[in-house]
Amino acid sequence: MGDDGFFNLPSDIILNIFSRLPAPTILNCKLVRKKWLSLISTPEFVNLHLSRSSQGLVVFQQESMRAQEDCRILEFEDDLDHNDLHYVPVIKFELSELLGIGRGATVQVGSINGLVCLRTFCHEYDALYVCYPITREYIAMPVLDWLVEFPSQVLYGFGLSRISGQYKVVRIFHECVLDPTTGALSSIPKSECHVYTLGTGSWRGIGGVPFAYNCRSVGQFFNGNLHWVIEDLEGSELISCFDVEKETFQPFSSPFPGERHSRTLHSLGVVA
Amino acid sequence: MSSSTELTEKKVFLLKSLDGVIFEVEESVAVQLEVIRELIEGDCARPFISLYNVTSEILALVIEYCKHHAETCSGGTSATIADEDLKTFDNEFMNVDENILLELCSAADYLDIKSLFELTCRTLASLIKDRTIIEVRKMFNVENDFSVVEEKAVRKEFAWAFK
Repeated sequence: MGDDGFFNLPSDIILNIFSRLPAPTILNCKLVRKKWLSLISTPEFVNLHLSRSSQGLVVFQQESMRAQEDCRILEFEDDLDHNDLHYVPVIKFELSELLGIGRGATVQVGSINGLVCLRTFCHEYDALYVCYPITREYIAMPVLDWLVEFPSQVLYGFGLSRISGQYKVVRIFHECVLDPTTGALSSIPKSECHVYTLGTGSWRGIGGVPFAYNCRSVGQFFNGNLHWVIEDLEGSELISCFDVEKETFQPFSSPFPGERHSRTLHSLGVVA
Repeated sequence: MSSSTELTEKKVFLLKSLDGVIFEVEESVAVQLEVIRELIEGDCARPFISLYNVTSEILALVIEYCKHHAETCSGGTSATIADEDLKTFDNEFMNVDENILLELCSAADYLDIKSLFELTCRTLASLIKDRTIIEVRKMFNVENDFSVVEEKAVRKEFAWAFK
């Protein structure tokens, strides 16, 4: 095969080999040769790598002495020889460096197909971004004047539309008024929902939201829908189901309506 | 027809490499080459099968691999011992230089031998894994075709992730 053996291999074989590499090596491979850079930038590579890579764990770390926060993504490898579960750090980056902003708390809004949606917030700003750790790409969403003060609430969710295959970040805002004597939610004078579709570069208002959201959990995505725990103004618990494709809300009742007095729905999770 | 005491005649096939060398292989070996399976089953494998993309050096290795796998799987050993044995064999079999490995990978793809293709891809990936850019270039004897400016631009684009 001569001196240039690797480069005479058909592209699909090279992609197959690359798809088995951990993220830091992939980054290096981009700089070996131009052909590799272009191969790694193809959707075929991304899909192949995703089909092979295991799920990872996102860890946020704050250094108390410095105004910065690190984000680490760990991937777990099955070690067949030792039966150990050991992790490899896939990526580490400083969030403040990424966004050019100061200190804030970062949480993961959601993750689908290797894309990770993160939210960094503090009393000064509320920033959202989606990054793709494998190819080291990210999109920062435009930061709007959206500072939310208690008792008003903001919630987010990250989903993938079933038919059009678009990734969407959903933001729900409620201006809340509490009853001064009981402290319970008395009214919601204003509510709105915005959707950011990846690739469009801007947020889009889709109108009001018909329910009172409980800010206890972030939206859980599965089956093309985002789910949140909600309450109507009478205090009945429901689960809100947002169709990411149609951008419509269709709540369903609590699965355990009879237990309302003794137990409340606390948060939702997804079994993957 | 054949009784259990009678020696069953083993079918053999002739495989011809790119450089004209003819190899005689038993059916249990030949059927592992998915690309010629139909020819064998359709009885169209006479007088020999030409494999235009594989040199005799590589074909000899491929046959060695298939032979060992056929023998291990048909032997009376338990599945666990056979697995262990194949694992040891595969590890030693992969102990060749990078260029042979690349050719084996390419041949396994062409001949459609899934287990060998998987093994070579995995081995090549493990060779590249955790290497620096310069080490990878050296290993596969490739020239850097990025200009200084181009390399800088790529690094800059992903600077936030070069931690």
